[in-house]
Amino acid sequence: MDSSDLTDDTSIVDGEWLLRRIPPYHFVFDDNLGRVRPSTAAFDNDQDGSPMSVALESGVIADGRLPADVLRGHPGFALARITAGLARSKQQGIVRDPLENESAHALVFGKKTGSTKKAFANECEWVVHPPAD
Amino acid sequence: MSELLDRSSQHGRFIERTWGQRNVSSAAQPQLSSDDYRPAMKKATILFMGRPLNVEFEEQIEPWLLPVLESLEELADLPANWNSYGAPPIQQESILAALQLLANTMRDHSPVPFIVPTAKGTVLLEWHTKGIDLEIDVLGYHRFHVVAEDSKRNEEIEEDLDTDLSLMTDFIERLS
Repeated sequence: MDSSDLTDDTSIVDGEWLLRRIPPYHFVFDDNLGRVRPSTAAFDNDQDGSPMSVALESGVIADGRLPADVLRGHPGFALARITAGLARSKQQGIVRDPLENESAHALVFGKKTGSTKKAFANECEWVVHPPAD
Repeated sequence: MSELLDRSSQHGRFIERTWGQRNVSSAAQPQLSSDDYRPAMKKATILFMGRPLNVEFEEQIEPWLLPVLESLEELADLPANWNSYGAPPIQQESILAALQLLANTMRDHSPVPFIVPTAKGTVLLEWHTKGIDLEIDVLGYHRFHVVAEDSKRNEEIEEDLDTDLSLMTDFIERLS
């Protein structure tokens, strides 16, 4: 998808939570922060340049689901969330992109520099923590 | 060392140990004390991604090597869509280039990096310790995207690098 055609959807408020699944390979212990957080690699566009997928938390709840339901079918994954405001502060735009299997699906578009991904990885919140092992 | 050998044998790997002397063949040499003897380079052959990998070392295999090989092998086996967002499998070139980079930059006591797959099919090497964040995205042989921050020195870098490893070597040394 060419993200140059996309326009930031301002109906998605800055306080909206954007949910992102985190695979087990992206759990890293940050000794500087003293905690496990997602790798910066968890917050990137796709190989073909397609924007980063998220689910809008309010959309998931409006659908009668819990945020953790976004992990259904993905055992071992964790769930993190960032605000739309944080994404916008890093020159990102957000658009709704409902899919057949995820009505709350949205895209976070824009170039993701090292500092953008680091901000997302450091400032995200765990909704579902990595499983203890 | 024995632990390393045990781990290797668990994985069906083969390690060959050889010992020798240095500087003892010439009659013109002064009399040698025990300090003049040191182990010759030992050699090991480790199965990595189904092929033999020859390793040379002095005292023991560098402590970082086996965990790194294990993590890289794991990445090599990742199927498509491993992140649930359609990521491709990890490119073999990135895996081998990551190993080559580490062999050229790591010291005996360098901390083991987190070895992380990316949505682009490359290997990301990460360290987060001693006030330093170092991330090296291995795009291929001699193609690296480096993001580094040293909070103690108030230093922040984001650069594409090729054959010059000095920046990465410097940061890895600071981590040790």
